Amino acid sequence: MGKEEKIDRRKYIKYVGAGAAVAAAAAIGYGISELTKPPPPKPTTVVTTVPTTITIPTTVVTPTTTPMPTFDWRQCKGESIKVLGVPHAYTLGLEPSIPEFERLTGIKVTYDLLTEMEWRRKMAIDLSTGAGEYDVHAVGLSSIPPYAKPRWLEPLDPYLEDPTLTPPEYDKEDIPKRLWDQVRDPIHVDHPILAVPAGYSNVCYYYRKDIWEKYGLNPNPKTLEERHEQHVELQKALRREGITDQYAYVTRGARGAGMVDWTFALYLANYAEEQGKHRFPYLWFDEDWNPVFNDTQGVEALEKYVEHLGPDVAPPGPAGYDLYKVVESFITGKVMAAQTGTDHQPTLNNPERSVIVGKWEATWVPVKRLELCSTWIWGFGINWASKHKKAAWLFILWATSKELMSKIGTRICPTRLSAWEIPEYKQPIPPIPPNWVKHTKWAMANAEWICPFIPEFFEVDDYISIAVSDAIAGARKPKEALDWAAEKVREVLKREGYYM
Amino acid sequence: MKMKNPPLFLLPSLIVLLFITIFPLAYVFYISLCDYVLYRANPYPIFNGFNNYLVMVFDPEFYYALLRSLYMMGLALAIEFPVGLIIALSIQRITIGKSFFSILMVIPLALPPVVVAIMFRIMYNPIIGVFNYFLKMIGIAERLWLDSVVEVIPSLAIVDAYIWTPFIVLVLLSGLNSLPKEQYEAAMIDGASSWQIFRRITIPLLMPFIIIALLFRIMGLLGTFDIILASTGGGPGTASQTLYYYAYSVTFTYLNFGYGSALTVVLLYLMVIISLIILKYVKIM
Repeated sequence: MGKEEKIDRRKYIKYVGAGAAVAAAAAIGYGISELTKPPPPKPTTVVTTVPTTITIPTTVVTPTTTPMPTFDWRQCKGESIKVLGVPHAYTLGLEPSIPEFERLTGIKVTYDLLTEMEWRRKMAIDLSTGAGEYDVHAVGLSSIPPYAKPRWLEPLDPYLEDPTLTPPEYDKEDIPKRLWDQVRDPIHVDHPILAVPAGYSNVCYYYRKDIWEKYGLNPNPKTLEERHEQHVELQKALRREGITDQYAYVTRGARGAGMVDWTFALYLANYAEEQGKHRFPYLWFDEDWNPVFNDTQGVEALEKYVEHLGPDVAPPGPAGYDLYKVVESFITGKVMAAQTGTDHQPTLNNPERSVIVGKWEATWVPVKRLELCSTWIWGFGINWASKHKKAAWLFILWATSKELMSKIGTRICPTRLSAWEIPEYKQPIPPIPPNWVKHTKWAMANAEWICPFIPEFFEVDDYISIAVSDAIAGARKPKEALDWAAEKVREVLKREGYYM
Repeated sequence: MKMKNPPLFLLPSLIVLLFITIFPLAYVFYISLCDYVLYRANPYPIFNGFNNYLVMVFDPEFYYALLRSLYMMGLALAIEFPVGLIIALSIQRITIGKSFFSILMVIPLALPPVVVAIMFRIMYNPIIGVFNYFLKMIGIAERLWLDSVVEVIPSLAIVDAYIWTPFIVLVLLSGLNSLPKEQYEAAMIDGASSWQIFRRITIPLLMPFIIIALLFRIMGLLGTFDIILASTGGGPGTASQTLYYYAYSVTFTYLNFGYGSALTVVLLYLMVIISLIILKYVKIM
């Protein structure tokens, strides 16, 4: 047997030290080469577009299976593209029709759906590295400013204006102008369109029609407080009947950029309304970008949000409720009312998953001005580093065409006006609830953009969401939590050059 | 035959090592010395010395995350080691079904941690979860588990123990099987009790195996990420945000690669320091 060599502590430290020295030497070498690169310019001033209210015209279209029949769909035949999205109404509704696109164009599609938090990370890595792994990315409103700044998304105006790529039958005007305006680059002066709106959503209030009728509750309370009182009464009534595993109400409480903030933003806007600062960015920041969401109204908003998710109405542990858990608890009949996005209608009416098909309705969240119901758009954008941009565009063109959106209309929450004219929506056919249609169409034309959509959104919004989630979980008092978040947000904005 | 130039034969493996270990480490270290935020107009790393490390010194979240990591590590080890040792001793003593139980032990290790985390997330659910169902049956108040700022870390430690206790069992079992019989026979002839044999012979002889298992678990626990991501996402609030998860959030959610890399480098050195301390005190090397 050979002699065993012992590694003592000195040698161990020596090896670790040698490793660190090699690492440092390589890093310094690389650093010198990187230092020769030109420094990045100062942060650009954020230009925000405040949407204006418009009236929705009505357009009727007969659904067909082949969109724009005279268009050359085969121009990228033989190519392959990859699409990355989130499992929301419009991506799920679209999925079964993808083989039709492949037959129509000869383009092979790989379609990946990830949960919202994972999608954000995957998308950021793919776009920032220039890997070009995914050609088409699902783009939410909150992604536009962060991805516009480094120009990670291909401007789509040249595609929309080129008749060989977009035929007149595509009818761009069928998607309301205010939706197009919201997917424009807010940073650079030319404000190009960065995504095509495919799915609409806003915050609404879902409730169990049968339960509301049974207990004689008012589906349209005037204020958030009045609505909460109803929830308290409902839960008491359930307990009186010996039902201990059902709860009156839940909404989002979980941490994450774009998670709890979307529903909390309505509360913030509601209590800031009296100050006349309900519009973005003033309910979050003042004119000099100092955080103001921790002011008196902000604290009141969070106190109410926490109170309205108290144990007298909500299931245990509301701080762990993300959008998926909220929807799941509503469709399994565990909660009787939920405040979340309108685009969950297809899930709520999916008989394979939902026990409440035909038993629910949707209405406005009773905030001081109904327009504060926080608009949201899911769109499709093209990766700047994609090697199949034309093929990617053909996918977007097809996915947002009149014909397809009308065909899959009830499986999505469409952005095209013509898709709202299909029989199921026009004279709502059960289980589509009439008030859900009315509310969503109204919101598409009137709902305002109230979330802090700035290039630093992911960081800023995560801090705010931590504060809200902490307050719900009882880890911090609302004032303390918001002060902490305001300080963190100030640090981020200072680092990014908003102020000295 | 004597080789003329033996170091030359090491070259292929050194090149591989350079690319898969040294270069990534060097790159992360370099990035940690840069101001590098991806969503900027020109997202290039700009050398800024030790500024990220300076920011870390004044960042309370770093300390909270570090404490949570150490808390979770302590809790998980406190479950995994005693339970693992008891199971290993039990399996060693049984005569029938030894192989069966050894194979059974491998199942949690074979499951992807994300799957286990999702499984536990369902079992921990305060309304429909099986844990609260059993607690209710025996008259104990229901818990919030992952949804409570107080209970979340212990709950995650239980998930980690479920996955990794079998690893401890396998390492200790292989150690127990390799122990020399002579010392046990001599101790029994001298009239030593079972406890004395366990304390004076088994544990000292098993120590190298315990240390190996401990080192692996410390490194694993400081790097726990998958079960946190799949079950709590660092929440509620930041209650389950460990140092590794914080580094991940800063890097991939906030897209601040400079500061995220600095956190990773510190974590790496933390692992090395803890390993050195353990090695110093137990004098295995």
